[in-house]
Amino acid sequence: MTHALTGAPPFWLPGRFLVAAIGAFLLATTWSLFAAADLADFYYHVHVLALTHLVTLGWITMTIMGAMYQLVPVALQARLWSARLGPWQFWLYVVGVAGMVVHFWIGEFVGMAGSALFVLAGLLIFLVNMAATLARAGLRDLAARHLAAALVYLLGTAVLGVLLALDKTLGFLRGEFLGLIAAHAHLAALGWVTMTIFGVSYKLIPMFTLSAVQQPRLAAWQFWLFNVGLLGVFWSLFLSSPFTPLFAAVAGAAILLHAIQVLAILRQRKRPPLDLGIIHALTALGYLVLLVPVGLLLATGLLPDTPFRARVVSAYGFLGLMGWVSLTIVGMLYKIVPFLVWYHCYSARVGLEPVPVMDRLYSRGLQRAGYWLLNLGITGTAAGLLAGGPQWLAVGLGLLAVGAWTFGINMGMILSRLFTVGRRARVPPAACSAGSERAAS
Amino acid sequence: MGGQVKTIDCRNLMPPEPLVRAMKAVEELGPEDTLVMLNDRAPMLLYPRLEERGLTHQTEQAPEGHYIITIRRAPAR
Repeated sequence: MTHALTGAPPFWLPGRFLVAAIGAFLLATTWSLFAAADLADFYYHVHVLALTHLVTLGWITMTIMGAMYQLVPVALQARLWSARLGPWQFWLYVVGVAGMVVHFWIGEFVGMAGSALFVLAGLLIFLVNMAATLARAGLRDLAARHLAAALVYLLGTAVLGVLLALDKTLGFLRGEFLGLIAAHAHLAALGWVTMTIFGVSYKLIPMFTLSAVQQPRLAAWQFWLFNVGLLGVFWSLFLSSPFTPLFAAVAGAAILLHAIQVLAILRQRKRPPLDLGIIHALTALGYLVLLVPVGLLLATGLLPDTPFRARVVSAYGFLGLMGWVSLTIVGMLYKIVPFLVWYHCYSARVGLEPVPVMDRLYSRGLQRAGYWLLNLGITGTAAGLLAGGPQWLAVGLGLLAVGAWTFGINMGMILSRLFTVGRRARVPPAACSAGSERAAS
Repeated sequence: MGGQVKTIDCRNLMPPEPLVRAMKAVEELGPEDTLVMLNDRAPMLLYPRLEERGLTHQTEQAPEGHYIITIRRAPAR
């Protein structure tokens, strides 16, 4: 078998998304310090919506887009359909997200809906680019299948989001509004984000622990079960049907099956010590497993519609976004960013002169401190949301922000190499072009 | 076809170690020598680096699942 070649994407194709995403994470965690009172309030508050979308669209989705621009061509061995569309997509998307967040904050929904259309345009370009790239790779690979499904759910989330935005001014959707928002949030969190993380985990966790997916058939079952569960949750929330608990149980079973797969991968690993990046991701998976019974409880409707239920919903959403998704992303970025920077700054010089080791590009002590600060911040904030106490909330958010900044400083240290490593030593531009197809002969 | 065949086993190594070992090994390659690299994946990011240094390469997948990359100096034109 002979492989067609792909070059590495130029640094700034994934890089600009990752840098902007890290910026959004720092902005969101810092900004939330000044919005503790709003966060203690009902979750359907414009300030909470502004911060939530800064996290989901700015931090989470931009990280995934950057990671996909890097990982899909390399891990799935498929040449990126278009590297040129990347910057266009980036700017449309960033302007849209900034507009959405600001307009949410000031409660101006015409501007918010207009900005959402920019976001949708940016997402559509991304979707076409990735769909065409995945079509080249084929969908036999477990990770590729997860990513393809996730892209479909991203489209669904974005279209429903734009409809919800337009409905704020035009009022044409007749469903129960909070049910529609729950449907939108679950399609995003489970269909787009969790599906992506599951797929990427099946590539990256074996790669960084020197192991393999142990039961591919069970993992394939997990994929289909999760699709059925999350689509069922989405439709039953959308239509306010009584089947939500049933589908929530199916989605929950798929999540547990994934966690079992990850443990099986780890049990067979050939590299015994687990590094901190992987520990971040495993802790995050622990938060997700903890959220399954909470989600089931909320789906059953057994909790009466009281302010306490609203606080449980807030804590559930927060733990999903920060405990599960953000901690996973922090762990994965501690793998992806040092590698990307090392590759673009130093790989061309290996064998010709001494080059630094990848793990030495950032502070391990800061990473360890950040891990504990983030976890204390996440659990503290969740406890504060649940108890409805603004003091706990302020302490939790403070720890979270400090934890986010330790991560941000480490990422800054790594990225600074791009500017401090002398131009002479840098990889020639031709070496990091998106690469035209050449036969490997 | 003269020259020596050198084999490096880069399986069970974490990125970027396979790339580092291959790039160091090619520097010791004579004009007629061949480097055979065994790797868990097709090393997509190594290929452009080899080409920059005027090396040709061919990748095959072994029945066991790993990849065999054969690297030589490109003939001088």
